[in-house]
Amino acid sequence: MKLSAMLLAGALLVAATTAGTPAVAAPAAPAAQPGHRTLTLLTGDRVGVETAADGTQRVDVLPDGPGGTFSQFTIGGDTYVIPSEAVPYLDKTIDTRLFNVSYLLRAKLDDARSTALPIKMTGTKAATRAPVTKKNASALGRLMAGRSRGGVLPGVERIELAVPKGAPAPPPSPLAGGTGAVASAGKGVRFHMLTIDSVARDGTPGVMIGAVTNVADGRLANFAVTYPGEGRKSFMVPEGTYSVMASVLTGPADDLGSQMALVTQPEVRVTGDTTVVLDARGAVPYRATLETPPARELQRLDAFTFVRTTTAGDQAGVTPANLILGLTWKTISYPPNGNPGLYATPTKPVTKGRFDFLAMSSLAEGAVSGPQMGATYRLLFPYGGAVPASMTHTVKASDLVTVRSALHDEPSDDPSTGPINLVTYAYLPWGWTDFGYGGSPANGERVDYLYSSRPDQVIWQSAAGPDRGERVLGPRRRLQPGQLVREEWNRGPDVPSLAATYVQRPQRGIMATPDTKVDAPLRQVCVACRQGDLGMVYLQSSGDSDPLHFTELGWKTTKLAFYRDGRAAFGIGEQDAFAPSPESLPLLPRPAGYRLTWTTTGDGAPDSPSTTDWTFRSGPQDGAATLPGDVQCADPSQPCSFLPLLFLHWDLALDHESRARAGQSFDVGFRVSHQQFQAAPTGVTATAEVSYDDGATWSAPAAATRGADGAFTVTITHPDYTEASRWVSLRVKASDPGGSTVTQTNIRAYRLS
Amino acid sequence: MRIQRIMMLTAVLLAAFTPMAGATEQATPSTRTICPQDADPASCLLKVATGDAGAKAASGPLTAGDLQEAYRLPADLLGGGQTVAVVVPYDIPSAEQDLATYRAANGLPACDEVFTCFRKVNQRGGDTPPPSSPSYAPHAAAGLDLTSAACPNCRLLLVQADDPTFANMGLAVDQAVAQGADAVVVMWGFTESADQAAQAAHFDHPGVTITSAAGTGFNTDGRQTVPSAFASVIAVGGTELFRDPAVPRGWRENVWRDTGSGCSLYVARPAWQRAGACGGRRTVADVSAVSSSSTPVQIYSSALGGWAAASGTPLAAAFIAGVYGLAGTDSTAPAGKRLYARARYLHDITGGANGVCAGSNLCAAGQGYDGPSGMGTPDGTGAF
Repeated sequence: MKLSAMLLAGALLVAATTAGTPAVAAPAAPAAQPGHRTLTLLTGDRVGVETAADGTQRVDVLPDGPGGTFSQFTIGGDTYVIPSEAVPYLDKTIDTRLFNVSYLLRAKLDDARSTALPIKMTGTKAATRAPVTKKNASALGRLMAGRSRGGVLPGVERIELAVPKGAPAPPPSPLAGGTGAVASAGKGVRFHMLTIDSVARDGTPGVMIGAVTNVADGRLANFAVTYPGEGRKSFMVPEGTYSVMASVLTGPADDLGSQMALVTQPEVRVTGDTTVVLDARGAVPYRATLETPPARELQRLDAFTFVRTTTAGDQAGVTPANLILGLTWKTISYPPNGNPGLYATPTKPVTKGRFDFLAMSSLAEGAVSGPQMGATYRLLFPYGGAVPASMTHTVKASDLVTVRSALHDEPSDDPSTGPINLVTYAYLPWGWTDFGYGGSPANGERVDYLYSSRPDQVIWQSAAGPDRGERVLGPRRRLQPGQLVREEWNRGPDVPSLAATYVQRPQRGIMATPDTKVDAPLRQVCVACRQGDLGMVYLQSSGDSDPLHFTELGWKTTKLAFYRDGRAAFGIGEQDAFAPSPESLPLLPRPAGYRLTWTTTGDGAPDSPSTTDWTFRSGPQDGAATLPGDVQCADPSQPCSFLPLLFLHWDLALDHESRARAGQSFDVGFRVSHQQFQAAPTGVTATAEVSYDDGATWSAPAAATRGADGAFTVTITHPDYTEASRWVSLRVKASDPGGSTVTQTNIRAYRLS
Repeated sequence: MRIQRIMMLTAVLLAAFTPMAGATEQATPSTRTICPQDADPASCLLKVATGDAGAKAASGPLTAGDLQEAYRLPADLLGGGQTVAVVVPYDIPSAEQDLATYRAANGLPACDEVFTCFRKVNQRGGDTPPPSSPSYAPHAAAGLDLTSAACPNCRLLLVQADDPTFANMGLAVDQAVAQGADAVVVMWGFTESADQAAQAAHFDHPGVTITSAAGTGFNTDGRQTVPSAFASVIAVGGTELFRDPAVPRGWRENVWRDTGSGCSLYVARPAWQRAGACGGRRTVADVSAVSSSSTPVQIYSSALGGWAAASGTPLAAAFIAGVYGLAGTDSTAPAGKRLYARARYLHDITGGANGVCAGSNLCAAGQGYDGPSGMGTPDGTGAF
């Protein structure tokens, strides 16, 4: 194999660094011990290596070396740092592994543990073993820089690393042939013509929209057959196995009358010029219906998602999260795109990479959105690794999950346009989706239904967009057939959520938002935990009456301040679109008292700020937090203890416009809790105050009554309705015997009517 | 003290594995494609630097003198009596004046009454110009400037096709040959299609060398561009070229990561190409020259506001057409056959890659022939 080809193969595994950015490498086995170490290279250049607990390494060139230009890359999990002056000598004269900083660390040749680099030098006359002292290494670097022509050092045939006794065996040189990643590319393969053609469902020549992908590695070949469709098409591809996947249409996709079938040949072996005919005539229809349909007409939206994942990990097809791509593949069927039904040809399970196929239906009674929209049904059929022989389903009423919801508008002087939407996320092992009808529902009570043919494979999460506020999300959970779920959205004013933050967020890839891929949907991080001398807080706002509701987006103005033993220690002035998620609070290495205040003001309700004022005590000897398996501390490699913050959630009997009757008595209900997964606080006492002038004056604190269920109540009497006193502001102060307190203030918590 | 930096390591740099110096230490400049409205994006191969890089183009990019030096061209001595044709779509009214500016700034002999080295015709050989299009003016400038750089003594013929259709571009090539061109560069390309053979004869004129850009990217859309994929055309790939006093040549040259290469879908392998990874099919490219956006070349086009730092394989194609003009070889042997037989007159490009190609030489540079750089870059005119 030619050197250039080997190098290129090695490049396949390169984790490229950006200029000036340290590389983070996946761990090589066995991993070096966690911590930071410095290492002097053969040229005298010095690097710093930060090894995390999971073995990943961050490598920086330190500024105290001779300087120069460096190439940094990762092969086989090991990071190499190559000074430019060494490049001409690599593997001709100098063993490239002398610049494998990951291995040098494993061999205990870092500066703290070795003052020299042991080398084996083969001279033009004899071989010898000798250490190069790191103190003098830069001289060798200068020698190299001065004799770069030809990559030859006088009198030296070869310099290799002399592996210390007891050190692990070094990996092969990335420039050596026949090993590791280099070998994986093999010899150059022959390219052949791969032609795809199709027959539509009606037997006429088909029009295709699809993808041709090399199953081993999409970088070798990943070609599109584009909208609005193409006929017979050829590509030059390297010998290998290919996924050929296309919507085969009876006409161009922009012809609303054309009919589709998804035809997939997931493993086509190409060893010579090959023609693949995608024959849609064997396609079976997808149809999901209700055994007990409602009286009102059902609006229907059907979709396929199909993802072919190569063994290298790249994907082709339509992922559940990028369902909009289905419009161009014509794998979404709903009235506006004229697609009268979805069909697919059955396939066998793949033997290379993955194929994941999902069919979905969203049904809505009466209308697809707006106040006339009745109950909605989200029906998921995760078929797994193949298109089945039959996709006709009748869903029994008893297998539906019933979701009873109540949607509240923000309190306002102005008429509301109603909630923005009611959304359900579904997380599958290979993707997530928020597919389905649910836009602009009426406020008030409603019933919707969820179904999955594989309840074990789907994790659900509901979310609601109120009329003026941020989208509020609920907990993620598996749901069983026949289960009843009750949800109440946006009842009561915003307070900090006590829900542990989900580590991965289902955001689309637009504007570089993270986590378009959610592969661990149940992983959470504790809300407020101490790790060492840091308090790691992941505060989320828009907790409503449901303590597990939260929002993620931070479309609010927030202000945060932190005090230690009465002195300001940290603060963030008023900022837009900021969520302390996380924020690192500097703690003292001894038991101390702390105060944390957080004010949030939603963009849609600027006159209704929420202020939470916590005090608590914490020390380094606090007991370790006991967390479920899916819940971690900010740094999962280190134990943590809960910061004993008290969280308050209102329980106010408001109507769906967030109003209460003027001139009548009213129970101000609330609950006081610890963060999710922390034991409930005991011995809590609380007082409540009310203001009818936006907090200018407050009533005398009234002791709250604690009920048998742990909820607190203070009964107040609303004044008669006047313009001046139409808004009710609330403030509660609660404390526990351990010294934790919370003062929760909500200006314009609700409105009188 | 030298600048301390970690280089971004791409497949190109890893394969090159050379110390980074000079031009390649700079980040790849931002460029914009010169893509006329309604053009197939796959055909938009010419780019210019944007922002400051473009504004400073008069001093930064490679000049005619740089290119003559790097490729050891006896530009002052040869080329007299040779005609190189540049084929573009539409009329470019500014072409002659733009060329004059370029030639003057680069110390090349002026095209004037004494040395009538510029002429333009329509695809029928007449003076009536086709409709004008500023969108294609940079293509004309790139073609005329780079052929001038390689062969200042050649006469230049601008043949303006009625439009950018394959058929009319082919007729314009025929006209260039009819007008006596010794070498022709086609400054526009088309993705391969099953019916391309119908146009092949327009690009096959024994005794006249036709060059064209190798396209962009390795095996883009599983096909090549024509006319460069035609066996009768010299397919010209792109390199990055920068000064390096540490090497005997004084210049270092690697494959440009965005150059085009791969196997033709429909064209059979010419006899002078070895059966490599493409088997019985034609492999692109044949030869190469600088066209990287990292080491752009200087062109002058009033449609671009004046001086510009240009990149893209059409530049290399124009330059190589100029080298053929400079060589002035009078031979009935196909240009490709001569080229492949005279590797000793070429710089073998052994560093860089333009894609991932399963270990073949279709995308990775190596000793001898490889897809992205072909047989190499000019080292004098002996191979041409």
